[in-house]
Amino acid sequence: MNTLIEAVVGFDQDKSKKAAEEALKAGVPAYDVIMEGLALAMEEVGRRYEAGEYFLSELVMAGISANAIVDVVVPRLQIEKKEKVGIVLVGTVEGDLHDIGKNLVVTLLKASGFDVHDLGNDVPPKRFVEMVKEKKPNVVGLSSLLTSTLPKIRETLEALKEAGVRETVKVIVGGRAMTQEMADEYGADAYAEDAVKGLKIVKSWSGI
Amino acid sequence: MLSSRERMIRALCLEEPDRVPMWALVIDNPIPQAITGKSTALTREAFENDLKVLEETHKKLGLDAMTLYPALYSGQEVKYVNERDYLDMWGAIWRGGPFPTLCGMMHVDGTIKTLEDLEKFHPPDPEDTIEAVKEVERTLRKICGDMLLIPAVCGGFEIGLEMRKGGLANFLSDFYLNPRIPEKIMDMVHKYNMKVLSAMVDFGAEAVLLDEDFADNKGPMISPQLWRKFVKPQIKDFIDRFKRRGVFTLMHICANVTPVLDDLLDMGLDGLHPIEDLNIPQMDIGKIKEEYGDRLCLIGNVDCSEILVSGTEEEVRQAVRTCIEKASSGGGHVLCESNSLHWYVSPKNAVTMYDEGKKYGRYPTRHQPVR
Repeated sequence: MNTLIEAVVGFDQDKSKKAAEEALKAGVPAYDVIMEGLALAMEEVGRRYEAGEYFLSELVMAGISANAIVDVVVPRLQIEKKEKVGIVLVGTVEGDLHDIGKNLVVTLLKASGFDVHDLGNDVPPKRFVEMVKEKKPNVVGLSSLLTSTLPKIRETLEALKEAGVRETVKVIVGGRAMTQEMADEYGADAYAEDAVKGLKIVKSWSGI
Repeated sequence: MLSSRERMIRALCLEEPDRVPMWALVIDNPIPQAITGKSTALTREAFENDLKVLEETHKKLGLDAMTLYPALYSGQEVKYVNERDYLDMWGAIWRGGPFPTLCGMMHVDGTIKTLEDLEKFHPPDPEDTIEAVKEVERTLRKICGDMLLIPAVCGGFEIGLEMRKGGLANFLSDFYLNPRIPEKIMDMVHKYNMKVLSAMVDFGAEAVLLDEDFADNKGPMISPQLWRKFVKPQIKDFIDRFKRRGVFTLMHICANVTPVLDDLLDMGLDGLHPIEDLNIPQMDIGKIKEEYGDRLCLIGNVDCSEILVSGTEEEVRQAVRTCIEKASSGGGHVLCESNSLHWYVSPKNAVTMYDEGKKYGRYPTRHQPVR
């Protein structure tokens, strides 16, 4: 796993993919490739980001290597029928097209063993409600970069409440326009100022 | 009493004028509409009229400087790619409305997929913009005699992430995987910008602004090492070139610039907007004043994400007072918003902000600076 971890932390997409393939070939369960390889690699990437050694560009590069591993490993997870760590629904709210933060969170969550449903961007509240009813996630993540679309976070939370599903999920919010005060005011369960912090919170909810 | 232009120049020279000068980087249409009854159209045909609307808006707000993004008036044809999205002159796709607006549109994606696409791309001709400016030269010179006119251009990093297909994620990975792409974009945009700004200085501008949004809350979106290799050289050329002409050099950079602020000041940058501190304690304007106030004119930073949008009158006035208390002592401060007077800013709050700025911003300051 050290080769895999070094490859992800060092942004070597080809080596990352090869290391994952070799691990699977050697009989390492797909779940262990994720939890004892990729997840640890992304923890180290997150540590370096929080320490100011890595910046957004390095998170993106590590994400590319992580996705290369996820593409190889996740189909095997389904074959092994291993129980997921948790199910997460993520989307950027209606009227907002920004998605880099949301996409990084998706990668980090997948790399940590979560089953993630990415609804994309410009997602209306009723779509979040439909997908919560369909996928029955543990966590819903809402992202808003723009000040003008912040009210859509409130609307989405209210829509979940009106549909009677708000209590079935934990909701985490983020994006540049969001603050802790607003998250509290809107009734979210947590606020994350960046993707790395978001992952930590969702993992803590899942008991990891 | 000093003229607006003199007041701004004193602040940019890090001196105390008669009162804290006031400015807004961008004033979007609801505000001129509310204050003058007229809007800007943001077309080449309407350039002269837009300047008069903006001049009237600035005077009624009591502002001392006026920004002009000349590229907006180059006369480039707006090409719609579908019912609601259009292509700009740099190959970026925007979702429109409400129109006409400077800040109300949303970036959708870019069109440059590969280096080959970039090599085939025809950048806009700066001469189109310069010709448009020549057509309104008389009005511009009149404004320059009164307020400090600040021509502004958007930098290569900002334009690069807009023109690149796949947006920010692909552009950031280009610095590692396809470095010729950001290198070529930075060079292409810089050449355009320097020609346009030089012409504006020929027309009488005494300050110029580079709008280069390369940062997020953590710092530059690329590592400082990559920033020094790809972005810093253009900024250095911008500063050197206009310093030689005796022109003030300013930058607009949102979010956290502290990891590279020493680089910017060592190059001789005169002023920085907006000193945005939402969720960024390192960018507290009082902290920046204490550490850098002897080298840098601070331009900012009344919050335009909440307070100017939906704050009460007292909240707006308090925000102005706090900003002045933190940043104005000894001069070297221009009261401004924390990004722009964008579409969603309440015109009433904008008026209140500058009213309080005029009342509270007298020199010598009556209050002690606070952190």
